[in-house]
Amino acid sequence: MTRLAERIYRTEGIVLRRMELGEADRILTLYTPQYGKLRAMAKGIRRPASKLRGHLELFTRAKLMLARGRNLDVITAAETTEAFRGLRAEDSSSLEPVGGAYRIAERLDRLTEDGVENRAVWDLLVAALGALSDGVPPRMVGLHFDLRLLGYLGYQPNLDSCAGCDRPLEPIENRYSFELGGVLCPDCRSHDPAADPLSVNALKLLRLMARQDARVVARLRLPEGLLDELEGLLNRSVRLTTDRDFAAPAVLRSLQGES
Amino acid sequence: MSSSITPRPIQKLIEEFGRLPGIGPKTASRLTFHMLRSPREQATALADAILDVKDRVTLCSVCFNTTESDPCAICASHDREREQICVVQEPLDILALERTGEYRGLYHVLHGAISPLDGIGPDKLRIKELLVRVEDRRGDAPVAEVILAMNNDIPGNATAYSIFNQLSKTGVRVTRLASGLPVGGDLEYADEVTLGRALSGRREL
Ligand SMILES: [Zn+2]
Ligand SMILES: [Zn+2]
Repeated sequence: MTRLAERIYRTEGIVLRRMELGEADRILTLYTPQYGKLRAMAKGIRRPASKLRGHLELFTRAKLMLARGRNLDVITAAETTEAFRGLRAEDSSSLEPVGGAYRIAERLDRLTEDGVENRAVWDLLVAALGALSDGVPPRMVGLHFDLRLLGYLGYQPNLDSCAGCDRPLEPIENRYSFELGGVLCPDCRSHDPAADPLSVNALKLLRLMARQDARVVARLRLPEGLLDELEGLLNRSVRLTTDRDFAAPAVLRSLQGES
Repeated sequence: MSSSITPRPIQKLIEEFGRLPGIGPKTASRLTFHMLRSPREQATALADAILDVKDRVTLCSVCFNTTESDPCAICASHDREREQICVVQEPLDILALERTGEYRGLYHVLHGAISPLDGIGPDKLRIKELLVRVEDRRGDAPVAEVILAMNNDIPGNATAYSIFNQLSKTGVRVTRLASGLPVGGDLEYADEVTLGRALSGRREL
């Protein structure tokens, strides 16, 4: 009796990724508040009678009961707590938000390790999917997510003083050095010749995103060029931490090209 | 399993079984020792069946369904309504739809659904070939309706809308199976009644 109880545990989780296995099973990659990223088996989920189905769709938040298995833990029960309906509309209005959700899921899957608890990342994921579902522009949600995720994983850039000389940053064009973990003033440029130019407005926007949630930042009317600049910086930062290219952005670009 | 005491042929078969989707090292060993104990005829039958699939089954050059002859039996048939094309994710979905007995048109198999995390975009599916079929006005019965029969989940919806966007330029009528399909449902597993209802209640996109 006690042995069985020890094998069962509960957590919440959000489905990031799924892989078909055998006739009717799936291996799910979940993000959870207590166990960070977690891979688990959903047996029989593709059968019509499965009680798990519908509760373990992509980007669904659910309460889960799991049993420890020899290789993978097995999901024994699931109940949706938040469906993020805006991602599920059966018309083209949901394509862009879903694209944003895929992008976030790929970042999280690639940048985090299995079994490492990080409550701030969980809260960030819930907030980001909620914002996408409510129609906040996916681009803004994605940039905000990238910056915050890097921060919560230990790559928080110092946005107030120079990473070289520690003097407060002036409102002039500086450089952004991911390698040195922050911003370089014009005098310290030589510390990292590969550092990207960082405009005054981009620095302001980074500071704002570090403090405010995505919904607040999205209310500002920002020029596309500024978002492009920020996207370039954050993409390079993310790539430096993983050393790998991402698959989702290319696919999403090809989807957008059609409409 | 130490390699020095396991005969090479056994190692080799375990290795090959282990490459198959959904088969881990344990199952691969179990299957290998099962084959070792089975009569020779059974092993031959399995080996032949595998080779037959590779040698005798191809994809239909019109609809990309699996077939022994090209074009496939459905594309070659004179009894099918050639103005309708039903687009499905997998060849197995055709079996499910045929079981309903409600559909008399042609098919088009995509061989998958959009899955950005696996790098599967519209270009990796047979969508270009579908456009060619729809735009081909040479035959006596040009395509009048394209029915999208994707699974009712996020990858299925994304795929349906990507196709819809591309077809909208052609002016062809595009419909989607009615949502009789359960959320998260695979078409392959839907019962005939549900699927028949989804077909007759399909809606305009
Ligand atoms: Zn400096
Ligand atoms: Zn055919």
